[in-house]
Amino acid sequence: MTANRKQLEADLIQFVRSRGSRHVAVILRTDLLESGLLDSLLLMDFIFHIEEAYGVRFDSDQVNPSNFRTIEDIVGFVLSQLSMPQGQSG
Amino acid sequence: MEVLLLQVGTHEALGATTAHDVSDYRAPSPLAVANLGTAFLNVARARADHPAVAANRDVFSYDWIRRAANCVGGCLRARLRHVLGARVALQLSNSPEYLAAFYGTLLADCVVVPLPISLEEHRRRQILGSCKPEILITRLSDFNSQEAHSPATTLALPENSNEKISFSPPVRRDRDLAMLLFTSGSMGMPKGVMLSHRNLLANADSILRGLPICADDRALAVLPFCHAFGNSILQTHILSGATLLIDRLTFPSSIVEALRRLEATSFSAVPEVYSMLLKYGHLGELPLPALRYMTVAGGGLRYDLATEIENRIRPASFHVMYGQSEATARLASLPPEQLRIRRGSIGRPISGVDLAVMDEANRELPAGIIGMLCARGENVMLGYWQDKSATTDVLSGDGWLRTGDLAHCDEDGFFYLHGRASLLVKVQGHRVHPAEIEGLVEAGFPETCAVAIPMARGDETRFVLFLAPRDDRPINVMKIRAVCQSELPAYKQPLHYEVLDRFPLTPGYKIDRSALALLVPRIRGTPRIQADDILTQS
Repeated sequence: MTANRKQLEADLIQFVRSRGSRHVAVILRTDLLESGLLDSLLLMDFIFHIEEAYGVRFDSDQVNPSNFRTIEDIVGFVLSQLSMPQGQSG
Repeated sequence: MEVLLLQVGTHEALGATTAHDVSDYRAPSPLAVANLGTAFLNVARARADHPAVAANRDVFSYDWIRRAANCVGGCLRARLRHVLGARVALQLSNSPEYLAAFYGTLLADCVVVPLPISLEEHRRRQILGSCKPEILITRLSDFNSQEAHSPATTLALPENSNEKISFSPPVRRDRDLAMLLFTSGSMGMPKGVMLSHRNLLANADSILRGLPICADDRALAVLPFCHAFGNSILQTHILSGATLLIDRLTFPSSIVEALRRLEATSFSAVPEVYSMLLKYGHLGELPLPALRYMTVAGGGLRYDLATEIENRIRPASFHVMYGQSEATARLASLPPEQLRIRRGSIGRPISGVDLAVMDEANRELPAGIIGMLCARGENVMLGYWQDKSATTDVLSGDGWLRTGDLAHCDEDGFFYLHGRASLLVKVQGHRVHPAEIEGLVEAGFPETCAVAIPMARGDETRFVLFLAPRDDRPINVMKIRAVCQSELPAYKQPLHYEVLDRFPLTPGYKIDRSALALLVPRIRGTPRIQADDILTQS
């Protein structure tokens, strides 16, 4: 699984770096909340991107700081959802 | 361009944020003065001890903001050789510093150019190149690391002991330019909406006549102040002597929690924020006893979501509003009791505004007929910055602004929207033109023809990028996607890339965008990358 974790990490880092020049230095463990880099609009974009690109759906309780503090946290959440035996939609 | 870094020195700690000051204060009409900076000073003197901004755990009184604005204004006057009409760019997130910089710039007789703090580099260059600001005001946390090498001066607020300032009142007034708001133009290039002191004061006055804003209000400010709608929240509340609440509002649940904890009396946002609040925010599960009303503008909110919000926030009321940057901010408002009766309506013009539906020859159309929605009033912009032809495209000699929105009016004078007349699409309250995305791809991949088509994504709008070869060279979707990801902010990035052998054409041999739009529902819901790919053991 590790190789594809890398792919997911690279994808999400690229995604957040495209946000603008304040975001270009974001790495896997940058605290997106403490640094103020994750605002509500970027959060919304993250959710769209993850739902569309990976088919992962968020429940209302899963959109929270512990799943979105760092790219690493987001990757961990996506992988945990993908490995769950849930109905694979779409 | 010189950089001025604002730094907050002394201020009061948490205390007054939850104290309810029930006062009889009634601010004078914004139209009583001719300069927005002066209007602010008048309120700030009368409301000196009242909190103007409660940011996280700190409270900033009107007196603090006034002193800080004077400090910024004095600094600008001391630094600029020609202050009258000089542009001053603001790169500041919602903060007391933003207010100090905004009013300070006006008090120095300069023009405010607010920039979003997250702005793509090429767009930023276009804007700065177009209006050539003398000074950029920012603060460390909102500053781009890339520009760190620019010479920067630090200014401590609310007082800078090195620069004792007492300066004469501002002289710019009425139709003089006060603010340049950059928005996406019809071909994707940014256009500077020129707003005068009169525009800003008149729109604030109109809104205050229509919304129940009073001096004891506490508005949770989630919209960026650099956005036309966010700016109008700022002006209407400050000119009423009310309080703006600023907090970390990343998560839908943190917005709902902040509304409750900070005892906010009002909240305004774009449609996308409301659908997030419904989906992930648990809005309505806990009571919000202080809340009196919410407003939505900056795009159409689906009718069923609007009524759902209204149900969940009762007894607070829900105001659907409509406007655009070219009209300073707001043009129409739907009284809450009409929400279910006038299904999908944007309401009637607010005080001081005329709305009409017109045909191509600017003749007013009768009720029920769809045409161009046009607006007239003292809030209609002066024009676009250094762009006469774009200005005459939308502004007629007799003061009517063509909004670019298609609409009809019912027999009782309520208006209903039917989409944009041009290809401009609203995403997160920002106008995006498909040409921006198409141009980027075609510049880098000349062998590829690209067409961006809006798609509904839940309650929001995003793009599908259709690609077709121009010759027999293959299309490299992965590379195109990588370029879009690195060059475009997330909300402009296509959600799907779809390769076709050739594009459908209209009888006039133009690309048939409506035929492509019909293909969109077939693509939706297919993950680009299969879950199996991610989980494959290496």
